[in-house]
Amino acid sequence: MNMLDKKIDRRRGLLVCGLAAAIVGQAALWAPSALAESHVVEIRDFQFAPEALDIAVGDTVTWVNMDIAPHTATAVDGSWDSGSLAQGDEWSLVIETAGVIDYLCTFHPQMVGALNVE
Amino acid sequence: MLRKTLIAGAALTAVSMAALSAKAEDEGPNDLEIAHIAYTAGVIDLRYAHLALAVSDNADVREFAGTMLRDHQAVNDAALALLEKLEAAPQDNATSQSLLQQAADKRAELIALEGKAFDKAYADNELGYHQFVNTALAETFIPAADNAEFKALLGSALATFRAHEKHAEKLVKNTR
Ligand SMILES: [Cu+2]
Repeated sequence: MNMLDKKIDRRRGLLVCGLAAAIVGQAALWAPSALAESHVVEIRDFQFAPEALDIAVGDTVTWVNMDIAPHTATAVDGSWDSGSLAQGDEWSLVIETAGVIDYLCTFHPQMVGALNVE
Repeated sequence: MLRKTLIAGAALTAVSMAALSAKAEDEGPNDLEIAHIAYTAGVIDLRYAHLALAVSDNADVREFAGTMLRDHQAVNDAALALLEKLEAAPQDNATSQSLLQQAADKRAELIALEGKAFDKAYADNELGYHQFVNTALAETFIPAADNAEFKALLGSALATFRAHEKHAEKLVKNTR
């Protein structure tokens, strides 16, 4: 092995070490979100499906409007609002507080749903 | 000779069968007429909604009318998009014309009213109108529609208008 090869070999070693460190570091960063889940609520035929959803703090909920008519997903307490979702539109929210969150469609207030957050 | 008779008989059967299927297709409106009727029905409710927003100060009435504008516009846009995709044009017909005439008469009646009287009459008319349209869609137009995509669109429209009917029931109570 000549000098040049040795140098390259050392560099490779450093590179591998660095990569490993980076992966470990990122894994640590990812750990909390790896446990968080994603949920989909379909808005179809003027109903939220599922109407009640059990989730955990940190989970993401995505509403997808399958209807021709525009809808919204809006917290009853006004803390969040998807705004108007046309057919095919989707909107996501990371849930950060525990408890029961009631929501509705502001365009069709008879459309109601709930998130049960642990 | 016998062979000729058989062929003639087969030809006759083919002709009468063609006549039968043409007759079956003639029963009820065709898809392009249904498209025109459904679109016209949407336009009519859009006009009622514009009138309500111009006349009424009642928050429930205004909210309902806003929903009618948003939803009927979306349904009509979806219908136009499908017709464009199918390269088809809606076909004017007697039913569309009679719907427009009835709506013009009702509009004249509503325009003469104001305040609570208008709100109540608008709510009653929205309930009656959606009941009428929904029955026609469910019992006549959806069963008569041939194109599968068009039939599905009418089904989605019906789901929308049924929600409106329920909403209108509430509005009728709130404007009593
Ligand atoms: Cu809605």
